[in-house]
Amino acid sequence: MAYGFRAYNNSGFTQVDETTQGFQVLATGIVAGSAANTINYVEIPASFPDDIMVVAKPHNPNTSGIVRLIAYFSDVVGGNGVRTRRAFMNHIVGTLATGACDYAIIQRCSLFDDSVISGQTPANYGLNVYRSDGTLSFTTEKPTFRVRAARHHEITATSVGAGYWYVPASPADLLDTYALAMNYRQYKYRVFGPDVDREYSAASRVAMWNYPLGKFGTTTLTSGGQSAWYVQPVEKVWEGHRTEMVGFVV
Amino acid sequence: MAHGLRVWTNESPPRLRLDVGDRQVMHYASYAGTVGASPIVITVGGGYDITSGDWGVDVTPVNENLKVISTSNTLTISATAGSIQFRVNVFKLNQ
Repeated sequence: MAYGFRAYNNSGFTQVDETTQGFQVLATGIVAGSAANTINYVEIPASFPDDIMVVAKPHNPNTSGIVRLIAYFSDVVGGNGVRTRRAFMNHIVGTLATGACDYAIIQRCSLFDDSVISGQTPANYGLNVYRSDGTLSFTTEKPTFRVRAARHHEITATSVGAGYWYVPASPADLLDTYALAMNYRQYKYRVFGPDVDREYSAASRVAMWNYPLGKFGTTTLTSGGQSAWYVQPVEKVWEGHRTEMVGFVV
Repeated sequence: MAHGLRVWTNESPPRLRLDVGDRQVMHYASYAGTVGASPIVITVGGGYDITSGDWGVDVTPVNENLKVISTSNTLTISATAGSIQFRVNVFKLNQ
């Protein structure tokens, strides 16, 4: 039997109810700027749930131009059985990904429990909404990832969905805008040319904050040359539908 | 008139922690494993349709040899070379 509390917004979408669970913030921090040719990362503690996601934005960006973000998630179990999870991110300053990033690690709300949320000061104020199974659907005691825009695009060899797709209400809002930071990196690799002169081209999908125009979008970075990874001509693409999201962490 | 629930933080001045104009991202399912020569077909169910705008999918890692194709109610995960550890989060938007 359904019980509890439901809130719907003026678009008729569920904000809080007894069955769903939003994503709320488990941890925040800053990934430091890096030297050229490396991307810094935050190590995900082993105690964090399997299905966390990471959102990020440029830290203290130069707002006189376009700032791009390389950010991706690595989750690998090594041959020794040790699982390593890292969220890599740096924003591009000029042509190099050397800028620091603010990040937030979000988890589904049911994974918070009373022992976690009671650590707040003052303790246990606000609203906790529980689901039918006794886990949390929403708590006012944890910051939320407030999604302001989302889109999906089917990535193919010929289309990555580059372009602006979010215009916030104000320049200040763009400064506060975090993007889902799980898969902005190289997605395509192509080897071409005659046997004696193989060449490659590589393309990365990255997020971009255009501060002068007050827009957010997706763009590509390309590179190429000789010393291809493969002997034979080939085109490899991280294909399929992918979702991008932006929002505030409050 | 806008309706719904607004939640402010306990700061001064308060900031909106939940607003009626927010789109909610709601966890639906997550899948993890290793894909090799044989594709893995996952039945998501629940009316999963990535083209509707009401669903989201997050695929890790970004790897040129990994394909994760969404069709109605289904995800097909394949590797064009080697074996790849993957994770897919499926969530709902605008529920």
